[in-house]
Amino acid sequence: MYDLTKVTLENEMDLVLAHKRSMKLAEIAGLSLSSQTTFATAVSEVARNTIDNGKNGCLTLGISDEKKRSIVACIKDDNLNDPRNKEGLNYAKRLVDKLSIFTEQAENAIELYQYVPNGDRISIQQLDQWRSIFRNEPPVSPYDEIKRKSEQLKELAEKIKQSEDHYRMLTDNIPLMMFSLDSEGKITYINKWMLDYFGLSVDELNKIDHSALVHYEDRPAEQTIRAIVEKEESMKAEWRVRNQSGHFLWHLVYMSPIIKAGASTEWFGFLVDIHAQKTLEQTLRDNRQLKEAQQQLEYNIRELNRSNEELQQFAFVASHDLQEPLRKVIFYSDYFQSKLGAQLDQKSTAYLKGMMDASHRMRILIKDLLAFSQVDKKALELKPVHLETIMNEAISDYEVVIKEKQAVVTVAALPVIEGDGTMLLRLFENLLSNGLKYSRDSVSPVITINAAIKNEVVLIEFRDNGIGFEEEFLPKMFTLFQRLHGKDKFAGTGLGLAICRKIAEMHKGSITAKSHLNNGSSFFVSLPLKQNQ
Amino acid sequence: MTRRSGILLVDDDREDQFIFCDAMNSVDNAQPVHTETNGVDALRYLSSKEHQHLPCVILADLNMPKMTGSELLKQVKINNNLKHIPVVIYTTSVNEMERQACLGLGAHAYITKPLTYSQSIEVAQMIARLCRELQGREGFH
Repeated sequence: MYDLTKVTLENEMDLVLAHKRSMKLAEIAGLSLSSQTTFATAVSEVARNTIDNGKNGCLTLGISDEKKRSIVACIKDDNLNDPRNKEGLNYAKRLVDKLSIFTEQAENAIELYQYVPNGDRISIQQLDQWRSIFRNEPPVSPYDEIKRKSEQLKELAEKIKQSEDHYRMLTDNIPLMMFSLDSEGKITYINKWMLDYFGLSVDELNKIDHSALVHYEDRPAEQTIRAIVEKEESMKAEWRVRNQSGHFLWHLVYMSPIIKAGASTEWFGFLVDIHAQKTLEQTLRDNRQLKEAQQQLEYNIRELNRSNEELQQFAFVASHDLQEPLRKVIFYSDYFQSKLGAQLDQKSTAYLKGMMDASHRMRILIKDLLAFSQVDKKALELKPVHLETIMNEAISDYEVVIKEKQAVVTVAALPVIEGDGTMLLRLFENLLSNGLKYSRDSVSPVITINAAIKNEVVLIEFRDNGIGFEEEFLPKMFTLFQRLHGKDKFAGTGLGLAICRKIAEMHKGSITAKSHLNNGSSFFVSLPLKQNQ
Repeated sequence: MTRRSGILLVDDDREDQFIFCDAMNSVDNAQPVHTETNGVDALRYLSSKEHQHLPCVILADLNMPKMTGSELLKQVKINNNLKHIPVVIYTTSVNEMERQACLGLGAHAYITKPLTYSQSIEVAQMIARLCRELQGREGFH
């Protein structure tokens, strides 16, 4: 059905209007005067029932959309089934060509049909004209006028509501947080996205301190929205904004005033999630920095290796070349003493002895330095090495000292490991010589060598009953030229333990020690059984 | 075959030359010492036609300019005229690998240079004794 006009059915005045408009419809549809009267009477009968007994009554007049055109009056009434209507309906039924009653679900309506001769000629354009006839018809009474105005208002309100719904639907469907502010900076509207993000309604948002929603590193100079609004300039910024679970995500925040002449300025704004983009940017930046740092590090390592190599080269060359003249100094002092010693007085003999002692010390120092530089230079020659054999070799190298000092050396069973035999011999010799050297006066050295295997690593302990050391010196002990004692008391260069550490580390092992002053020491060497692990 | 006599000392260190010669002069059965300062000159001396007498023993330092002691040793050992002359390596190096390498190349002995006067005498005595033994074995030709 094509609707042309509507009349709400509330009182007697409406009944008059319903009658008049039904007459008019029948008239413009070209029905005879009697037919006009008949149709209008039938409509009035049904309308009266609705006004008297019905609920939310409303009459709609129009043209049927069937092929055989009729003028139609549709009366909606939520209380259609009232038994008191029956008589009126029967009467109306006799007056019109067709009367249909719908009482299904929400739709309770009666439709009255009056056929229009040659009705198939009525065009859509004509219907538009007829609609404007009804709209522009002068009101029949002040009541009619008021009613029309009120209907227009209702229609307008409906349109506004539709438009608002449409607008809301739009803002809610664009994945953007949108909001509006009044001229005071008070939030007047937020869309669904914003509500979901902050978990706060407009009222709640207006109550809190907004700066708390922005990451402290990103907060603008203006402390409040009001301060921003007072500048009356649009703003755009990238801030980390806190969501309702407390996470700060990067957003582009935009706010712009809408200035209307004669009206207070309103503000419109939105927040776009740019977190992914920001994170990516940051990651790329971090990667770049990381790469630069890595390059710098690689460069430093190369430089360090180079300077290390140079240093080793230097140590080797220096110690090697220093040996020659020193050997001559030692030889000639000895030569001097052998040939002319008998002719020297006591003082001269003492001077010569001092010179010879010093040159001997220097020789040992150079020898150790050379050994240290060679330890690093040499690549490990890995072979299965029976540590017990190596240990016995080291002991036999020190046989003279052991006898001299009446030392007792006990060795537990030692395993076969993968390693460089020559280096491990030097390691054992150094530790053994330490144990023999740092003995207490008038106490014969007792050196016990134990071993235990755990997690594919052998831990060898060299325990002695010597003078020991204060453990606070432990970190220094394994570094170059560290001596804990004066050379008048114990000869040495301070290189022995540094060499030990180097050899242990080259075997992917380690060395440490434990001691109490005057109560012996234990040196622990751990060496993996296999090198390729 | 010519009769061999004396010692060829090849060492670029003049002091070591002096020390050895001085020690040699102090021992019984002292042998004459001819000195050269590098392997190239030593080979030239050994192959010179005017030189009638080859040395009993060659005493060679390792670290020398132009030709090292071990290279000289190699050259001597592949030369049919010279290969029977014992080459004694006379060096400051105590490197075991170097020692093994030299003995592998056919060195007669590997002696570390003396640190004391008495050691120098021992070295000289040993070399003199070696010469005497070789001379006694060869006799006169």
